Amino acid sequence: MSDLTIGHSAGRRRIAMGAAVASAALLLAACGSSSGSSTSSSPASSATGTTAATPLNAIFGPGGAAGGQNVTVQDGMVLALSGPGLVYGDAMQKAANLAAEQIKAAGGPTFVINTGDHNNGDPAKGLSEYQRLVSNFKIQMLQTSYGAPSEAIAPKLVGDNVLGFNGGGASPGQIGKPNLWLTRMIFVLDPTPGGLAYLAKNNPDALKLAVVGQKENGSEVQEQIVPKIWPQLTGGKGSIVVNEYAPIGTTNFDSIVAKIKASGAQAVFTTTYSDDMGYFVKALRDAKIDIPVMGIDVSDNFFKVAGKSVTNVFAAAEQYDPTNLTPWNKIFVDGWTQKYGSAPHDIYGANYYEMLFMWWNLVREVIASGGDPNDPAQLQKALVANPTFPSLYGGDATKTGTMTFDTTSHTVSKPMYVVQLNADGSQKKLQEIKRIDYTKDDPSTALVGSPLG
Amino acid sequence: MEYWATIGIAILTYAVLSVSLNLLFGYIGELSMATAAFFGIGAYTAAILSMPPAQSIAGLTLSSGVSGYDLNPWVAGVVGVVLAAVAALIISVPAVARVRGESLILLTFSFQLVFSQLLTSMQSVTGGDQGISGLKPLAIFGHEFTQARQAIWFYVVLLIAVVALGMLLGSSPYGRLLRGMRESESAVLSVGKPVIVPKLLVFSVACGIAGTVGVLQSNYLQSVAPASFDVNVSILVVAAVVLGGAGNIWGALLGSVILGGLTPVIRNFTADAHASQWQAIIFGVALFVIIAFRPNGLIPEGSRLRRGRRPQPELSEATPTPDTAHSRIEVTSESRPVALAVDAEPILVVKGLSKRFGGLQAVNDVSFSLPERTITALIGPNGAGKTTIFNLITRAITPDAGSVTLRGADISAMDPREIAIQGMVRSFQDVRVFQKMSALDNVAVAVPQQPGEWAWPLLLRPVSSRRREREVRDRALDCLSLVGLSKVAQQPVGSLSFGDQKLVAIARLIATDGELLLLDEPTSGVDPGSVEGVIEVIQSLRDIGKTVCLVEHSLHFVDKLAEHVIFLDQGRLTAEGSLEELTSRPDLVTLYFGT
Amino acid sequence: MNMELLEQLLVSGIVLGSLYAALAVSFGIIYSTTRVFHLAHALVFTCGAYAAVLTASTFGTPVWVAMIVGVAASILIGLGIQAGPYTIVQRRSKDPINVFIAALAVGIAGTALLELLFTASNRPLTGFPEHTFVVGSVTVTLVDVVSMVVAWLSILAVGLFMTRTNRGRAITAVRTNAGMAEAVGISKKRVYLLVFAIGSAIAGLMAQFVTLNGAATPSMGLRYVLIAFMAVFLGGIGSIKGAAVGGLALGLITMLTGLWVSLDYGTAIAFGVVIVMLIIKPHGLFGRAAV
Repeated sequence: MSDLTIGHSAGRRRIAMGAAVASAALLLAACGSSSGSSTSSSPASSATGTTAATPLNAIFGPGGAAGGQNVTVQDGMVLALSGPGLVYGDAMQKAANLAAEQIKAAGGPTFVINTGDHNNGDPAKGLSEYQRLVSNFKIQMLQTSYGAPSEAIAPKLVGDNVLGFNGGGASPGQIGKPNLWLTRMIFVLDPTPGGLAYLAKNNPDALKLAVVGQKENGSEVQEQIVPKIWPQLTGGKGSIVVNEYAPIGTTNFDSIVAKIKASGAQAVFTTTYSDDMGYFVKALRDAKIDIPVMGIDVSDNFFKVAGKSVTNVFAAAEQYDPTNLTPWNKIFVDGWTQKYGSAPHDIYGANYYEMLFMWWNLVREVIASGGDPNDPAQLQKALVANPTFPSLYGGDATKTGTMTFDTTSHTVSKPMYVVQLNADGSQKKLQEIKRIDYTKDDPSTALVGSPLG
Repeated sequence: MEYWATIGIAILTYAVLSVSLNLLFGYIGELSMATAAFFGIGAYTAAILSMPPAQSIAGLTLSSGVSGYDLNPWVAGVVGVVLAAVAALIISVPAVARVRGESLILLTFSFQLVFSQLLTSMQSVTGGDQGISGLKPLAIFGHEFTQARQAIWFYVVLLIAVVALGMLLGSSPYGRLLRGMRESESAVLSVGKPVIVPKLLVFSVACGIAGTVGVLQSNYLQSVAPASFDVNVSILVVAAVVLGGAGNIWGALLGSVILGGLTPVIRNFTADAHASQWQAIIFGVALFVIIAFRPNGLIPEGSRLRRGRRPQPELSEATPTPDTAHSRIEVTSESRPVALAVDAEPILVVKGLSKRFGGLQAVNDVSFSLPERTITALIGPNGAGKTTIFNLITRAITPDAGSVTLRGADISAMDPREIAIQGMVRSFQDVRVFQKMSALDNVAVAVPQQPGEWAWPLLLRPVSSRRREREVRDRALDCLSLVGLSKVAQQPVGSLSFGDQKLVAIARLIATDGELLLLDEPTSGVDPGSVEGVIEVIQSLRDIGKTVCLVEHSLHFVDKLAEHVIFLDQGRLTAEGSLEELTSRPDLVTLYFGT
Repeated sequence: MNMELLEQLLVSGIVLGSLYAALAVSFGIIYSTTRVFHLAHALVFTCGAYAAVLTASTFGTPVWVAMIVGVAASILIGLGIQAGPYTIVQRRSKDPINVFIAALAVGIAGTALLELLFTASNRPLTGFPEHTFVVGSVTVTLVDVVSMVVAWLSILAVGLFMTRTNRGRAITAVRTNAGMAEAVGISKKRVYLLVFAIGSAIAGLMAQFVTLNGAATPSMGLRYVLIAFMAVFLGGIGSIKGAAVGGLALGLITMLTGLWVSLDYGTAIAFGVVIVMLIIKPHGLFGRAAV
């Protein structure tokens, strides 16, 4: 999983071209609107798209036959639709539905969303749901979540000719699996060096580190990587004074907090997330332990549970930033707000929305090369040939961000930042970080550029 | 097609687990909340053993790459099943000892929760919350079966095998023993049969079955994770068994079909964003409705459906049933007891027997002997300690002091079962026959030397087991004939009159080949019409060489039966002799009858 | 051994143990009297939390009002479950396993209903004064102190009620010999409702403090009910004192294992202790054999 050379160039060219064509089309349309212009694809205007070219077309290209308007995609989603994970499954579902709606309106393929519930990560259930989706709906696309069920499903994808994506529980066990692509940084694994590097650099006196984590995902990082790089980052003087695990769903951290207090730790690194992280931070602050806390995830639930306790708390994570309104992100945020009543705010909505657009791009490319856009195998070939796609992450007000997949590991690199978390639920970007190779890179290189803001 | 096969597999999995729990519940009457734990022990053992060693990605040891031992999956599977069966001891040993009913439910609950917790905590061994994936697929000689529609046949075969095993055990001497145990453990012990090992065996078989389907699942899914083996699964299996009608296989199967099939059916009707919640609500409501309206389950025990299937044991044709009015052994015309033969060897010698219960000295330094081939009666007012003495000499209760010798051998340190095997057997005041079993089965339980009671001979030596069983049934029928009840051999004992039940109890004692029979109030509660029959039987027992000691209240019967009488009062042996001698003592008469 | 750590864990253990103790008593009084394995007690607990959260967020009431509403909601729901589903099933069958299944059914359906109505994202309860007491090296929050006090007061109240009042004695009568109790004119049905009311009230009360310390989620109740169940058996069925001691013991064990092993194993060890206890003393610390 080496550092990715970001092949933006190819992607950028296509986007620029698309933008140029689209702008030209808009100009033409503006001129000729009174004369009551275009309906669906006429050969001459196939490049310019369908009836009303939506702003999406400016980014992704025109609709119409070339844009896959005649294609129907059966999309299967295997999510947490009950229990504590419902909050994720909900977001993912909403994202897919929004994307389907917008893509259809832009003259793209029709996505039929079919959902299944893996009962909070039960691999047997996940597999069963996947098979139901394949059997009943002949899905071509799979949007899966969580680690264990996805790992159980992965071996079946090639045989069923399904192309799958996971933008949620990206676990190491899913790396490099045929027909499975991870649209999220590897949980815990990727942000950790950057987070620790930031912690060390900005708290030079903090040498004793307390590490508190969950075992569900990324525990090998806590066991093998943190003990290796913390001393590297602290000039050999740092040590790990507490190394504890709390099961997912723990609400009572009193025992761990007591240990931290007694150990004299000067900083905390945690891989707990969501509610658990909230309870942990709350317990820490309630016990008057004010040392800095570095996490690897940001979520709504965390703020809800921790409330006023969120002081001196940071997180290293890929950031979905709803306030960074790139051309595409604006469409996403506005669409979501309009459809669901409040703005989107986490990576889950963003990731699962992105995937349908990835698919749209692939459909377009396969059509252009004369292939069968209904065949996931060919779509995957297109993916491998051109692994760069527009992304809701990164970019700025004038330019939509992009993401590029590594075709061997099937993983992607997305912008990661260390952010400061505040009690009012807001976040402030402090430092960009990146993925490194543990076996050879100096961990302080995980910090990219100079501190922000 | 694949989807329906997946549903089928889910149903079959629940079916096998239900059969496993049903074995426990039907035979031992205990409900276990840990079925999923044993399911998991089988699965995880097979997974860990068959997994190849850990792989390394990105310079890390993959957490889901738990280091395995790379064994052949079939070998790993067998180990998994064996481990599950052995692990059953963790709950069966306490269960057998003292932990029953609610306490056992809690014990199994705790075990299940500890198991689930350990699965997640011991990550380096079990892969933690993520579990272990990338296992080798289901394969026979290189032929792989990864699709649901192929794998389902394995499940079908497993279910059939398990049901067949259940039925085989059920109609075997082992099953008979278990059914007897279910009704009265003390009665089983009193005829020299074991209670502990059969119970342990049931647990092991049940848990082994759960482990087997776990092994199968790990190979089919090629992965294991804690979520599949948690307390919710255990509870659902309990629900399936109860829904179907606890205690019978068909009910358990039906229950699991419903449970496994309900969710997919519901899913086909609720297709919106909150499908899961609606499914859970409908499921809960359906569960409630079924349990409210069919509280005994859909196929309750004793329903027509079940009775039709019960295999009727056959009487062997070769032995003519001596079913005549004179089925009892001819007794001498001399119905009065003869005086004690002076040189008769005492078969039982009791010395200095004492027992105190709290403030009450129930038995106080009692010593007596029972001559061979005689009938001795223990008489005395209520509360004199007569039954207690029976309990003490058979070690159903531990004496505070005293020794007991049977045929010269000191039996003071033995337990009731060993004493019964040594030849001293007793009946109970409250009879304790096995009500739901036939008279023949009741007696058959007591016949010694039945290898079939240990279960495995049934599988390893089927022919000789069957032959022995025929012999046992013949012997049982003979014993029933001796008490004149061969005509009702097939009737459930619960339907017989009380007097006949007491006769069945006596026949049971005869079947043990015990030489010394202790009969506790053999005529009490028996209607006058049947009493004579009982008396005749007891006399014929002596005539065929048995020694009898009875506790009896009616002096009339004592007069007819006993050559030797022991008078007990307030725990002390007050007098001994023939009835005439005793009744000629005015102090005893006063004691017994009042002024 | 780190003294500081020990002291803090001890205090935390007592805080947690007090919660468990009160919950154990709440579950125990229902179980020992009616012999119903009231799995839906988890739902009663959770509904108490949600009622409070909803009252606070919809009507903007002060937090103590919301808490009272929460307790009231728990009582209503607990009574409703007994008077409704449980009674229906009990009328048709004496077998306790059937009521267990009914409880399971209610629990499953009820939790799903809560998820439907509120989604799984958590709801916090705010407004309770926040303060941390520092005594030497030990810290404890105001919420936790109040929670402890309330827990023990409740247990005491129940204990006194059971021994000093007629109604309480009626409960004991029904618990020890229902048939005889009815023969002397005690209404078993009323007693059942009474114990459900008391048990549900305490559960709802403790649910408030749990929510204050975090948030309300639809499945929050189950783990507490399971621990309460353990505690009741640990202490011996039919004994208030036993349930309380059992709960306290489990809380202390869970915390103190932190001295030697990772918190991870804390619950496993607590359950392990229960297993050992069951083997040595199947009827619990203070229980009596088969009543």
